[in-house]
Amino acid sequence: MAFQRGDSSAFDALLRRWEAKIRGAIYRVVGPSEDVRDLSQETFLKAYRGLHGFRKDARFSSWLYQIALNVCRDRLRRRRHWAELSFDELEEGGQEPQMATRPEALDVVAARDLSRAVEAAMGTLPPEQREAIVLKEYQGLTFAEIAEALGIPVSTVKTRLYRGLSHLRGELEARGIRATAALAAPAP
Amino acid sequence: MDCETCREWMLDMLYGEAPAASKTLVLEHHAVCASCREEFRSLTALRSTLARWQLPAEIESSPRQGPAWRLRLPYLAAAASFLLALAGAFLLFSRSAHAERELRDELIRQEARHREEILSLKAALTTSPGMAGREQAGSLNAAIRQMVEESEARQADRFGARLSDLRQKTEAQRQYDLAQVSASLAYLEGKTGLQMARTTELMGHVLQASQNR
Repeated sequence: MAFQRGDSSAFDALLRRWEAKIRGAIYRVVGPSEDVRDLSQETFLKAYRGLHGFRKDARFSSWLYQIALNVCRDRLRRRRHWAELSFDELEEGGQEPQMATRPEALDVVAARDLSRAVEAAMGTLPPEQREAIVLKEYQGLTFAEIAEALGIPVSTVKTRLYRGLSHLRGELEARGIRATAALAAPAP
Repeated sequence: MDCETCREWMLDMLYGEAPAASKTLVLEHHAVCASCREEFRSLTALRSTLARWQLPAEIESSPRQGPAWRLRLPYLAAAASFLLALAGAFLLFSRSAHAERELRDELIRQEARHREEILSLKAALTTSPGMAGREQAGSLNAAIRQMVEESEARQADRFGARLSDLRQKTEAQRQYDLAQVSASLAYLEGKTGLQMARTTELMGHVLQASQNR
């Protein structure tokens, strides 16, 4: 690859292509209380320094996500726990009486509440299940790509994913959110 | 397809990674199994809910000072050092004509030294390393060939051992099956003999009873 031969402009192009995705993944893995931009930059610096270690037969996406997840794990190890949002906080944050009379405003509030509820439920997952769900559900990687990024067999990826989804379903139901099948599943 | 197999394919179905043949089998199973059908429906619905998690605007927007900017820092630092060096050289030049001449002489000597070093490096690259490289490649090829031969020999040994093992197992299984068949025949024969004896005995009783009448 061009960037491995020291072509810094090629690497810049890769950064532009991947930066938003990596930043999103980091946010979803470490949660809202960290400086996601710092972690994202740390990821790309490590990627830049480790360019020579990149195997040509490996997928670039898996390699980059692997670096990002390692950066996240280092940070989480220091912090230990995701700063979980309590359901009370969600309810308090979701109330805006001056907007509540307008139907579209209610939709906005409901969407934001649901988003926060999912975020809070994700925060209760064990890190390895959260990583699997983020890579599959939000980053759209294939099972094989996730297995490569996490360095585990595909069967383990599926086990973590299934357990994680079951856990999330329970968490969301405990928060009074029962998903309906009327909505179409997002494209993988 | 049973429920266990259906669950194994469920995630592949859910994320569109299941092959067409498996998909058909799973759907056929769903048609007859309410439990698996409900689980799939529930997970599909869960995915819809998970898709509602929105990233904060500041995370989704482009950074003002992204990593690309940071990665250029070393180049910027190098450029700044170079400019400082140039400024220093300029100051030296401006001190006096004598210093200027000395500096020019020193630069000429330095350039000559660098040219010599470059020439010697070029010579070194075109001669000895090439020979060494060829020798190294040759020895590497020989080592690889030897490894391949050793690997093939190992595989042949393993294949032979497995074949022999398979033969022994097959023979043992054959003997076992024969013994089973013999035992079954003997059992059937025994059963048949017993049945015959009972029939004979019964017939004897019947004859005796008829004679008594």
